[in-house]
Amino acid sequence: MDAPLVQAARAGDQAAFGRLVGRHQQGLRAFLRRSCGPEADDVAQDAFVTAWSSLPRLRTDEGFRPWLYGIAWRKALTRRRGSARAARRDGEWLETRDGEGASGLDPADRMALEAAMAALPDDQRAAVALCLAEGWSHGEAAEALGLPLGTIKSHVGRGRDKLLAVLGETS
Amino acid sequence: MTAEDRLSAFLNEDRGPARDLAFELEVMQRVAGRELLRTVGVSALFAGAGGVVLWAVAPMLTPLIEPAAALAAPAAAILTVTAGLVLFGQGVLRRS
Repeated sequence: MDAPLVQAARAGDQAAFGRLVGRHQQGLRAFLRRSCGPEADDVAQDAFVTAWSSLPRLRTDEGFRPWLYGIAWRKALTRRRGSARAARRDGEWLETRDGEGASGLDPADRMALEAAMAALPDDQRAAVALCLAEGWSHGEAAEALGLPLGTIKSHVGRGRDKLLAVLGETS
Repeated sequence: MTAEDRLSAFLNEDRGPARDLAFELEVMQRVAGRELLRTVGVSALFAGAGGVVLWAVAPMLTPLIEPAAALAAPAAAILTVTAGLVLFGQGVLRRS
């Protein structure tokens, strides 16, 4: 689906790349908000700019989405590891989100789930965000995160169990 | 609402807007800025390389260019003065 636009962008067509940005910004930012919190938009912008510069290194035009998310995920990890204030900011961000959302979810459930999500290990949280929230296949998530397929399956299963546990359901 | 439903609702909320022109514009401005820097860098590289080549061949080119330059100088001066007069004349005609 992305292949014609990727081909045009590889040839230097900035308008085609702009359409790719428009097509993927929502999903990428949602993934980053779930996996790295308040810096999501900055990371997403950096990822798009890096993707533009790195397009010649993209192996297949069809693989643009996992490749883009992989760039973003590595940038998010670098930021988290490089910032001693990240944990404090994450906490502040979670506090500002009390009561948000239009899904009819109980605020107490949302807070518990956000805290549980934040407590997941980085890779597990990313796997959950991609496979359970974004609906990606395990294979595509493995490609984006650079992890073996079995690890992704295990991360998704364990992450899901932990999130369900805070809602009072045990597997 | 089962726990599965609540988890699903949590994971599907807060996806942000499908189109965010401000975000897309910021990204494309940064892309254009990076492209400009790259173009300027490549141009500077070529200009530098050209300068080095000219500097290296200058001793061989100078004896060939100097006689031609001496011949061309009066013609260049006449052309410059003529062009100046034409431009000045056009300005005067436009004002009147």
